[in-house]
Amino acid sequence: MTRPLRVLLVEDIPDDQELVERELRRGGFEVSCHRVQSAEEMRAALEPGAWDVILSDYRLPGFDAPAALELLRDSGLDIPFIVVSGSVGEFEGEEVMKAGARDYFSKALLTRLPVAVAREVEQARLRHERARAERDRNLLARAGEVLAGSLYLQETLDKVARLPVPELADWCAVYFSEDGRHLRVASLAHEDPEQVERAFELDRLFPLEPEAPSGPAYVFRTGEPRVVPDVSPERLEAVARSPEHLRRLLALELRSFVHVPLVGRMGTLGVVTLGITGKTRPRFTEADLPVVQELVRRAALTLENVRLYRESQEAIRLRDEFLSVAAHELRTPLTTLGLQLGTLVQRARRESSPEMVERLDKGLRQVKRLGSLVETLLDVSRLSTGELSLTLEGVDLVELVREVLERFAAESRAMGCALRLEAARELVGQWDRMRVEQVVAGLVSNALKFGARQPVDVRVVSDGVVARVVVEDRGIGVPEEQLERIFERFGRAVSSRSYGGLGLGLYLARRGAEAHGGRVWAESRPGGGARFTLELPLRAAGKTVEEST
Amino acid sequence: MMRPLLVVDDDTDLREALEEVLRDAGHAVVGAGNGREALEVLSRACPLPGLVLLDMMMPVLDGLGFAHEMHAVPEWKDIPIVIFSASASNAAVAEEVGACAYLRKPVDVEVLVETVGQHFRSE
Repeated sequence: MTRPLRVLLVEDIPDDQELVERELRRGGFEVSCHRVQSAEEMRAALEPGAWDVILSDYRLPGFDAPAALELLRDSGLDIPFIVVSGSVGEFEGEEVMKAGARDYFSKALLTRLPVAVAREVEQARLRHERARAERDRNLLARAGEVLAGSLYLQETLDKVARLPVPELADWCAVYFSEDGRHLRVASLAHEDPEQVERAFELDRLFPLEPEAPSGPAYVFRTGEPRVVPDVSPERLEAVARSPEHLRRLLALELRSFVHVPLVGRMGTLGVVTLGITGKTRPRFTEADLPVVQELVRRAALTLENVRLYRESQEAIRLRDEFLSVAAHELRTPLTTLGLQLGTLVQRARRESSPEMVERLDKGLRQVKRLGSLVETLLDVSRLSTGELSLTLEGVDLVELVREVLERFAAESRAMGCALRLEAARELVGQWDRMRVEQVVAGLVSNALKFGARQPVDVRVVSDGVVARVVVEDRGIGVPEEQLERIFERFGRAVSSRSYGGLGLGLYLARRGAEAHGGRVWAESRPGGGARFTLELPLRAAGKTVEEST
Repeated sequence: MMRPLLVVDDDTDLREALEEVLRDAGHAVVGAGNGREALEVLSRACPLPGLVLLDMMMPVLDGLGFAHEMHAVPEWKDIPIVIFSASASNAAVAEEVGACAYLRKPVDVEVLVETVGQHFRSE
């Protein structure tokens, strides 16, 4: 069985080329040999991936093996270098080995040459594979780091384009399709910004035709990756649509391509194309495909997450907009209903009809309750967009708490929970009256709801720096692990089937307190039940933000 | 003759409820369904209204547009305006409208009657 072997031969005597080739063929190689005899010729021939081995005479007219070795070292290429000389006596074998040659032979004794070449070629192959595996591992690890946390489309596309350059390719173009048919260059990476500009220009002037029989469009249609090891000028001529198109294609200096489809869960999103331009790296082969495919697979996953994130953000925006519009729309009929009932209550009072007054009052209370539910919805949508306005004024917290408790008098009787207040005569601070009322009402309402028909104690205290409203119930209590969760939006420690409510009261309470520079927290009350504390600085540092109308 | 109170709101049911409440409170009331209609009422009114209760979001001519046009007429520019809006109280809007009070929908009958009474200009 013969093995192909590409030999770069540094030799001035054609007969000696014959000799070496014959020996290698005898050793089982199918030899293709390129002979060079000067530094210029050798430099021109040194291309990545072009040679399996370099065999060099020791002394040539105007050139020698040490100079050839230096040239090879400067090129950065890892090609086994073996000295084959007229007589070994004319140089020091030790020296060339130190300079980087892998072995040396006399032309008179070439029988061992094939074995040495085979060994060196195999070792070089293993070195290349190790280097490639190392490169791929690093690249994929970096891909994971770079792509993690990407939430925006263009940012992600740019990251994807930059990832393989320059480790894997000179070029990377990310084609993306908005309509599932047409591909446009969404991002490009190349070390030369002028080339990036040229490629964008090309895409703008000559967008890819969706039905093209080759290239990214073809890969997008079929979902099959394509390796194009050698991009010849003839090939470009065949795909060019006009002389101008060809001129621009040639200006990109492309030598080799890999196209890999970006496949998401919902279908193909686009195509990633890697290209090689200069002579600093070998052309693409099928062996390059797995790492590019893995890279693109990770990119597709990230892009899929970007899409999901975008959709969820849009859904949140729509929800908030809907809540805001709905709250606004609900206010008008509530106002009408409230005014009608209010008028009737007044008339019933004038006509001394206590039963009618009582029943209409009940109706009016429900209208007010609906009104405050509407407010709650609106607050939630405002808070999710970060708006919360405070209007600070001198407020007596004791009086405010007393008023809130009075409002809950009927409800506390109905719930069987006595409301008890313990407070100093007054406690004045700079707060937003409406917001503080909302927080206190939220805590009291919560205590009554979960108070299990036991008394609820409310204390208003101050240490001169902060004011505290402490609400203690003797009810079902809050499990330790839920003490924080109950302040989250829609957070609840109990099933919504057994206890109604929107799950928003404590969330709004916390946000209201925080807007004042204060806080709200919950703890278990010794002896059962829960203790909620609202703490407000006596002078709130809350900034006033205009609400949108 | 007693000055009337001008109620401007595009929701007919709400406007009628407001008119009833304010009549019950002893006011003479005229209504308008938008800013344009309200300007027409003003141009025919004798005597002029003692206060305008003004919705902000309305078709044809909204609250802000109405206020601008009203203030451009010397005889009308001192008529007090109370904003009655479903949007949260907004100092910038109130200033632009030149309003003396801002009521937010929904509102208690008592608060409505008290606020209107406080700013009503009978002379």
